[in-house]
Amino acid sequence: MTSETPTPAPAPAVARSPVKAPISTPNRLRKIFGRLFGISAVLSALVLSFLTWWELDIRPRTDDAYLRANIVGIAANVSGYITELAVVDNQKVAIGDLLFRVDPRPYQAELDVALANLAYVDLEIQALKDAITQREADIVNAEAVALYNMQYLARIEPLLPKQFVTPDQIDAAKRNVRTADASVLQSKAALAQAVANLGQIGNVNVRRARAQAMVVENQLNVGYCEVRSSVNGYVTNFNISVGQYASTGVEVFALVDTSSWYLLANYQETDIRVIQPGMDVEVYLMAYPRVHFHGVVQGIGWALYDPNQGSNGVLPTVSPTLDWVRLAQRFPVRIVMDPSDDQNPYRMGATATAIVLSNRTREVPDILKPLMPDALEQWLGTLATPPAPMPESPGR
Amino acid sequence: MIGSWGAVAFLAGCDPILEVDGAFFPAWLICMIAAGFMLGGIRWVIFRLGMEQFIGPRVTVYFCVYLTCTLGLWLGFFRL
Repeated sequence: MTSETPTPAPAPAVARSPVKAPISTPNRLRKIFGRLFGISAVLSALVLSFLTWWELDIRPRTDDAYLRANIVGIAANVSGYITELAVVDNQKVAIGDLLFRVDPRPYQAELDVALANLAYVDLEIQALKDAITQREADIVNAEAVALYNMQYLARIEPLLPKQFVTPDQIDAAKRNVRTADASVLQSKAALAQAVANLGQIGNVNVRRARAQAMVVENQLNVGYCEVRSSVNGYVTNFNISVGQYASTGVEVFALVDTSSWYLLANYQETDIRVIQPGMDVEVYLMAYPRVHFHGVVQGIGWALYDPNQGSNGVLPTVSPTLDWVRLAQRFPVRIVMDPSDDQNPYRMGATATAIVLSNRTREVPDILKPLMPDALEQWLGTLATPPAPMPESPGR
Repeated sequence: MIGSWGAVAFLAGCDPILEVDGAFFPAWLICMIAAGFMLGGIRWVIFRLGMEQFIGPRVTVYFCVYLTCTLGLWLGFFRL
């Protein structure tokens, strides 16, 4: 036992002590680079988070966007069986191109009737003019009779005192004078009636105008039998055949008006405050990856249907809700697209992504200004500046 | 991380939506997945270099690395 002497602590225990252990050079380097790595990772994350927030704030984007064009429903203006189809589905048509033809024969027959009626009215007018001449002659005749009767009465009246004529003859002569005057008035009335019957008002004869209008109406109806395109566009949803009955005003297919394409991009209400009409928009269509399209903001929708607000009878209905997390409403922003080119034609309903190049610039917050050098501040300013328009954008 | 910052500095202008066999995936989702792989690679390198014990609170640092990779990829490739 006495021979036992305390032995020194084992060497490994000393080596494990962190205080006294000398750090070898590679370990020191590892420590320095490790610390640097950790700190730079945290700083990078902070800076990139800030840049991302910045980017999203000045260039609001949405995936909820769809390409739209105006749709023109094609309906015949007259009813009848379709006798000819001049187009096929998806065909390109121009303004004035024949689309289909409705059986024109009933309308042609009505036009013929109207034309015949017009010719008859012309004859009728001539007859009425002749009747007027006849009435005028009647007046001359009646006036001559009246004049003679007056002169006769004037001649025989002085003969009554000498009893060369009887009082009855005088009375008969007076009656004849009055009858002749009445006959003149009657003839004048008959002339006025004949003039009215002619229907001439100034330079216009209403009988002829009416007949002429009926001819025009029937000519229009015959013209309506040929249904023509009113827009430049494409035939779509064309599911009719020859023999189908086309009713007046009932649409049988549609044309996509390709003269104006626009994008309806549904932006969150938090984004629309930076969007203004006239701003450039970068548009990506799913159908054409790697092609950049261009549009211009035309306006932002002013109204939305609110499903939570309603009324039942005269009282409002309010559904009881307890929404803690509220979803932002989306308002449709109308973006007028540049015209498409032949390589990348637009199709209505195509999915799109829109990025509004807001020309908004953001000042670096005052609290951060002392922390960052001027050069960094300027660089951030360039991030906020919209890029130059891209030349490869089709239709520019 | 250097790659992410390089992407921010030099690259730009990919479509903000990527198509995979008829389905469209948002770019940020692709960036998050790619950043996961990048994080795996970076962690492997850090571990092999023996620096992992010195980098500080690992969860925080690796989360920041992941965030840097994700945002760097997104800003680099999809910021117009």
